[in-house]
Order: sequence, then structure tokens, then C-alpha cells
Amino acid sequence: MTGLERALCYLRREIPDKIPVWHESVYLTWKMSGIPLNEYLLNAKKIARAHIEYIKRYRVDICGVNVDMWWPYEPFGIEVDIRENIVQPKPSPVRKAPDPEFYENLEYHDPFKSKRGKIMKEAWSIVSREVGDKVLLRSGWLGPVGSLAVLVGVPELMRDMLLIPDAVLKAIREVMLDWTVDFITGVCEAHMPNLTNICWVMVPYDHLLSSPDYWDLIAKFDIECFERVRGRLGRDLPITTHHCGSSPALDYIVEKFGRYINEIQYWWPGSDYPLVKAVNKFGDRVSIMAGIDHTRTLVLGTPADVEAMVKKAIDIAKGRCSFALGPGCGIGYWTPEENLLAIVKARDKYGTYP
Amino acid sequence: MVKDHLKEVFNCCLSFKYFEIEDIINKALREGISPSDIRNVLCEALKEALQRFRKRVYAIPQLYAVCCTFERGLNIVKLPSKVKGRVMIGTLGSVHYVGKDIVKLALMADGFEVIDLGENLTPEQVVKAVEEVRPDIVALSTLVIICLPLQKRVIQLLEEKGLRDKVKVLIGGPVTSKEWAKEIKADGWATDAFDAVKEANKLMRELKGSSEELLKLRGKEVMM
Repeated sequence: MTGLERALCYLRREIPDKIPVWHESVYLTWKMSGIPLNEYLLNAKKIARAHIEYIKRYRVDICGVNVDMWWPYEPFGIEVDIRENIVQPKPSPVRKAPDPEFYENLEYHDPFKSKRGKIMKEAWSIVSREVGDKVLLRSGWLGPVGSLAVLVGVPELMRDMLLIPDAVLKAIREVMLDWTVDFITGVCEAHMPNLTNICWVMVPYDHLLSSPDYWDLIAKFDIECFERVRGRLGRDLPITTHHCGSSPALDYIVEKFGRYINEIQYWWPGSDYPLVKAVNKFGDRVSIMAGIDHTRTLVLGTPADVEAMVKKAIDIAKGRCSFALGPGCGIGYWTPEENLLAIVKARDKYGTYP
Repeated sequence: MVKDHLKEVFNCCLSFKYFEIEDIINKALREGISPSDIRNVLCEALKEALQRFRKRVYAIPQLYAVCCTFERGLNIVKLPSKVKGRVMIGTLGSVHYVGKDIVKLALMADGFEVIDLGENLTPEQVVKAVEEVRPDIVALSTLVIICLPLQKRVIQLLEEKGLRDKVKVLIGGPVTSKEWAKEIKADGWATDAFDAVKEANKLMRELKGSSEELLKLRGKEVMM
């Protein structure tokens, strides 16, 4: 099977030849390009080539193509500071004090009118045409509330939802909803003809990060987005997910989004939701991706430790649910190479189906 | 009367009345309530919010809303001059500040003097500030995994500059762990603001213990 066939089997909850493996690293991919970060970010061909190289080197079945998480918001005026090894946004205008006018005056902007928006579209198109029929490409995107949170700062937005809810809701309803639909539709179109899924970031549904009081409201906008994007594309694509928080509200996610999503991906070992609990509770309904801790074992352990971690996850999930191996989030560029290679080696040893 | 005003300040923080806190404190001051009483009740409100966060009654947004309200109130009544110790705090490599800001305010509420270096720091900037400010504790926050090596680099630089035994290093952030703290030889690791206050107090006791030990040793040298 190709990685794509393996991954699609997993999403359909059928049995593939092996457990599929996802991982990706924005910064390790950049390191592989061999050019400075500020040049890399503005070169679609280099971005694409480095991702194709990453996929080959680490033999992943599922991978994303992306750079930093700030570029989609540049049309709104977000500015980034590109340092030697990292891209970071400049401070949010509502950092210290809640400001209703900021939300009330927020205006819609074409998501791909920025220079970097065009560059990313070209990079996706190259990667999708070259390897999109061999691996499953997925990059997670936030819904309207999550996108506004990136724009103004996550805790600031949640704080402002407590302090100035009307202004915040106006901005979500009148600006961010349309923007998110247009943005995700554009991402999907750039992956044609090998568009296989829409990957939705579920981080807002986290016990530490946001209040359960808001989850229904956030979900209402997310679901409206799913439906509008699907309507625009004219086809019913599988929805993959991403959750890198340390206290994921998986029960809520499965209950609320069960009829829309094909998988839950989350951080275990690492978060407070044990894999065995997820397998027992949702394994009969939805595919599950987890098993790799990118913060401890992968960076501090040996290849033997990585093998033991992978084996443990496979022992819990194999045969009990449709399972894929993946870390909680993007991998640090300083993760030992031998540990990354040990993931697929361990999968081949323990994760093959008869 | 005094109790009513103080209760109002406390409740104002915990009901996220960011826009009202200044008026409520000014009203209490006009009624003759001392700034130190108001400060204490603000600190109690923050501690209560931290407890609620620990018990999962609050998530980060509620805790952050209380922090913003607390900080606004504290700007009026200021902190006392007598402090437990001096902590220098900052976020390495990225612009994330919420965890760092919450820890900062929690330490201030517990009686520490806190010097906030800000965010997006390089290890060199942190070590230069340690040389200049000479804090008791340097608290390093890291949210994103690619910035973890910067914590290690700070400790290496402190060693190279001969400063390592003069300052305690406390680390935190969701991608850090006890194992990581051990690997880089940090003195303390905290999972949240509540823990950070506990750890900072522990490190201060260690510092006090080692300086008393040093004084005893010096005393012996003099005697000899």
C-alpha cells in the first residue's frame, strides 16, 4: 500500500497493511532546505522541495505542508519578526486592555492577497501534484473563533468574550466566519487534484485553554464552516483533526462533532487523556491518532525508548480501533534523527496487520 | 463598612469586573481604607483564582481576566517595599506571555519582587540581565518546543560566566517536564503558577540555607 492508501483505510476504519504514521516539522523541514529562514519563507519551490524531502527521509504516510502559523493573518495587519530560528508575531493590539473598538472595526480581507498567501498556495500545489497521490497531506486550520484568537491572542480573546462579548461576537459573525470559509476553501483548492481531507484544529475544546461555557458557541461556528466549505467544494471530504492541548475535551469533541469528523488526533503520552480511555470510549466510532510524545521521549530518549513508546501505544490500540501513530504537534528541529527514524522502524516491527 | 468595601474589591476581581475595579478601589481609599488592606485583598482574590484554576473551576481565560483586573487594581495601591526575594522572569524565543504574566502576578501577590524581561528573549539577553540585576531566581518560561534548547543554553552561559551558583534557575511551560529540568540541571520546575510560587519559596529557603551555611563557614575561618 502507499502511504495515502494506508491513511485512507485508517480514516474509513478499514484495516490497512500497517498502522499509518504522521509527523511533520515546520522548522526541521526548513533546516533541510539549507537556506536562511527569511529566504525560505518567501520561496514556494524551496518550501515544497523541503517537504517532499522530509516525507521521503522519514517515510511518513501523512504529512502537512506549512511554515509558521501567522502568515494567514497578515492581510489583517499582523506583522512578523523573523529571527534566525523562529518566526513570531509582533504584540497584539489588545494585549493588556480589552478594546471593544478593535473588534467593532475589524474588516474582512481576502485571505490570499498577501505575498506569503500566494507563496503557500504555490507550495501546496507543487507538493500535492508531486506526492499527493502517495501520502495523505493534511495541515490543520482553525475555525472562525480560533482564527480570531490567533489574530488577537488566545487568552485575550477568551478574556474579551467574558468582558465584551457583544463586540467579539460581532467580529466573529460579520468577519471571521466568511474569512475562514474563504481561507479553507482556498487551501483545499490549492491541493487539487489530490485533495483528500480537511484538517480541523480542535484546540479551542480544551479544559485549560477555554471555558466549557463557550464550547457550544465555538462549535456552532465551526459546524457552519464545515458545511459551507463542503458546499463550496461540492464534495463530502473526510475531516481529520488536530489537538495539541494538554487537557483535550475529547468527550465533548466526539459528542458534538461525531457525525462530521473521521478521526481524533491528540497528544498522548503528554496530555491528561489516556489513550486506553479514548480507545475504550470512542474506538468503535472514530479513528484515533496518538502514541508519540514529541516533548520528552522523542527529544530526550534513545531509539530504544522510542521503540518502547510506539510499542506501548500499539499494544493499547491495535485491533481495538482504527489507529494511526502521531505526535501531539510539530516536532522540534533538534529532535535526534535516529529517534525520528526509530518511529517507522518500530511501526514496521509491531504495527503490521496480518 | 471596611469589610464591605474589601469584599467588593475581592468580588470585583473574581467576577471579572475589569472596567469597574479602579472606581471601586478609589471609593474604598476615599472611605479611609488603607492601601495595604486593599492590596492584601487583591492578592487574596488572585490566590483564590489560582486555586480555582487548579481545581478546574477556571480555565486560562477566567484566570487571565482576574489577572488583568488584579494588575489594574495593583497599579493604584502598589506593592510593599519589603519583599521575600527578587525574581527575574521572561519567555525565551517566542512571544508567548500569558503563562509568564500569570506566574509574575502570582509571585508578586506572594510577596516577591518581580523583574519582567518580557518575551522573545535570547539566552544572551537573559544572562546579561542576570549579570546586571543579580536576582535570586531567574524564571524561564517556554511554550513552544523549538525554544526548549534556549533554556539549556541559559544554564550553559550562566556556567561559562561564573554565575551559575549565584542564581537559582526555575523553568516552566507546557512542553517542559521534570525530566527536561533534570537534563538541563535547572534548580526547579513548575507546572503552573501555583507550583511556581511553591518552587520559588523552596528555592529561596535553599538560598537562605546556603548563605547561612556560608556565613557559618566564614565564621569558622575567622575563628581559626
